[in-house]
Amino acid sequence: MKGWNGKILWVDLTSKKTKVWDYPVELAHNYVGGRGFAIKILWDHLKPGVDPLSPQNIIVFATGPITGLPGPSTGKMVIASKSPLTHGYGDGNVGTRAAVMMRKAGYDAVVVEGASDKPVYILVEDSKADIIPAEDLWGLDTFEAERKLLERHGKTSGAVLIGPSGERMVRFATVMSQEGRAGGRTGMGAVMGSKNLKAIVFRGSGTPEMADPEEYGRLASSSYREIKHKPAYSFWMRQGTMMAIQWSQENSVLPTYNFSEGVFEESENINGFAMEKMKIGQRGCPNCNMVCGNMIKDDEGEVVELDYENVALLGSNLGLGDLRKVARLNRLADMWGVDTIGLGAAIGFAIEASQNGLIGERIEWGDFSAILSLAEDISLSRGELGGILAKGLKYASEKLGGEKFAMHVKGLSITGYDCHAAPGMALSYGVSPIGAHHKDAWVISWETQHGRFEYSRDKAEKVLELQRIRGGFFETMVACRLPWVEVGLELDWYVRLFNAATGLSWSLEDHFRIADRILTLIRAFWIREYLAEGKGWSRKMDYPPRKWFEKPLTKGPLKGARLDPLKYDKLLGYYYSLVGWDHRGIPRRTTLERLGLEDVANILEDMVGLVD
Amino acid sequence: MSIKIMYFGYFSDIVGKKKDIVNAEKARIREIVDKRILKLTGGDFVVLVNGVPSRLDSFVKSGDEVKVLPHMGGG
Repeated sequence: MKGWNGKILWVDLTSKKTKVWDYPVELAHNYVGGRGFAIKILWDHLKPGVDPLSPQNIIVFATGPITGLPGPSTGKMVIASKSPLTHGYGDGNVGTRAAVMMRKAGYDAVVVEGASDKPVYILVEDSKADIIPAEDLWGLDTFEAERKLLERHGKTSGAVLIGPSGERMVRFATVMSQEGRAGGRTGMGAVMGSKNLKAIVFRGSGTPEMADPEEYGRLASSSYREIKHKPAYSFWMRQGTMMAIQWSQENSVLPTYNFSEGVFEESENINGFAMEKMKIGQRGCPNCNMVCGNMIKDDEGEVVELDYENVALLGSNLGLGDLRKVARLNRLADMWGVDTIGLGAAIGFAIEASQNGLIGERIEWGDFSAILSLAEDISLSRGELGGILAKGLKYASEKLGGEKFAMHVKGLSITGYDCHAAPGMALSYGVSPIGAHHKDAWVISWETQHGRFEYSRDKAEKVLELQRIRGGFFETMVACRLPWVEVGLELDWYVRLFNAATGLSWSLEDHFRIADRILTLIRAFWIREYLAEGKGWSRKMDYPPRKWFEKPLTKGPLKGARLDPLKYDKLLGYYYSLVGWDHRGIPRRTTLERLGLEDVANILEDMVGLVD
Repeated sequence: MSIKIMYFGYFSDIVGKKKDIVNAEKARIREIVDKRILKLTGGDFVVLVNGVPSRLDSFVKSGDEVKVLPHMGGG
């Protein structure tokens, strides 16, 4: 195999044993890498219905065939497991030197199963893998723990690790790296915590073998140059994803007051231009020449890396219009190792629960002191309210009430886009493979110019197209989608880089067939796990939150807008017909067989009965 | 007798300003948007009139505010 290392490191923390799996070429050719490897491994090796926080759960850290090779934004890895937040498939990707070093060490993925009786970390140094006591690191925040690990193992090594939130199994704890890079908002940090696994550190000295290194080098150099010459590059380098605050405000989709409104009165205080006045630098992932992390000092003078989603959920969504205060919340969340989006969603829910008399605490929009205190309680799973909210919005709303304003899909909280007036984006959240998340099909920009308020079939088609590109192609190559999606680097560059690395001659359509297989297998995993846990499954699982149907916008140019439930259901039906799923949202037998998933069809047939 | 046009994101870099005033009672949006933006994008961008989604071939009138934004990728 060229491009792939052909090896996966398998670590059993219960027995403290490691083994190397020389995996078959079929795995590479049928699933490519990253998310593809993750779902195939989870499907094949996880006992159905397993408790996500038990030793029997498996967590996968996976790269792809161009990860770590010099090329645009190829320094990422996917982290996946059965999610303790949703009890379905969970994953996230993080930009980190650890991804590059994993590949240089000779592996394409690391799989961890079992649980250690005491805190440990895993050190991977080329062909050597050790499980090392981590009692001295347990309890440390992610910044301090990573500094200690890098002092011990060298500044060029790469680490992914958890903080106190992961250790305490906050259900939306993340995996962190490089003081601000986060991945796995589906609770991948909690899974590491349940295994007493503080970190994985990678050091490698090799390079994955490429089929045509000269061609790859030419393509990589040209694509880097191409990025810098795109018209959007200069503005991107000034504001990065923070430019989206103004964009979302103008388009009435900026999450405000727990997704009650799409415009925020103080948006100018927290947008990209406000950030530019405070900016002191920027940083990002390895192999990237359009780094997205804009740094400012927070209200305590500490350096923080800002991003749109963090600022939207911890700022406007909480009625907080002071960027330096929002930045402090962002920094603390990164240090605790908790998802900034999930944290903002949980606090927003709590404020609305307070206003509705569901909890004793009195919390107002924009009350920084109360928000900060609650953020700490949630992130450390401390106190009665903090402990409840640390288990996620679905659990909290079942426990406290307030289901009608719990802003999640399948347990994963909504990210930074209000959908009162965006049916296509609501569908994207509804059918996302991990619960409400934008990474698979961010359709809202296209939607603004294609019948914003309509529920037409072309919206379902666009959601699927984006899922194939973003959720399939980029999540299996494991490269960052931002050069394509934000400055316009053409997709063909990545196809050619893949072919030069692997020696294959695939087209984008070939990658889309892989994407269809992976997205369908992920769907099968959700259904298998839900049924094995004794829960039902219906198309209602793919509905966005009730608030967007029931409570219209009261401010801004789109005042009065809300989703129509009957029309949404029809839109969902369009999507099901496109992907070959039945009226319940369960893949048809013919769909599974077409994608080479006959064994999956036989398992689902016994569990739920399939439609042809 | 004027229509205000505002350019957002990297469009303001290309046009060299963030807003423009067009003296007209009525106009088709396509006719008053900066030609460099039209050429660069082929007309594929976000258009809002008074905050409400609109289209390039729609008409606007004096007093309207037209906002022209590049498409975004959504991270």
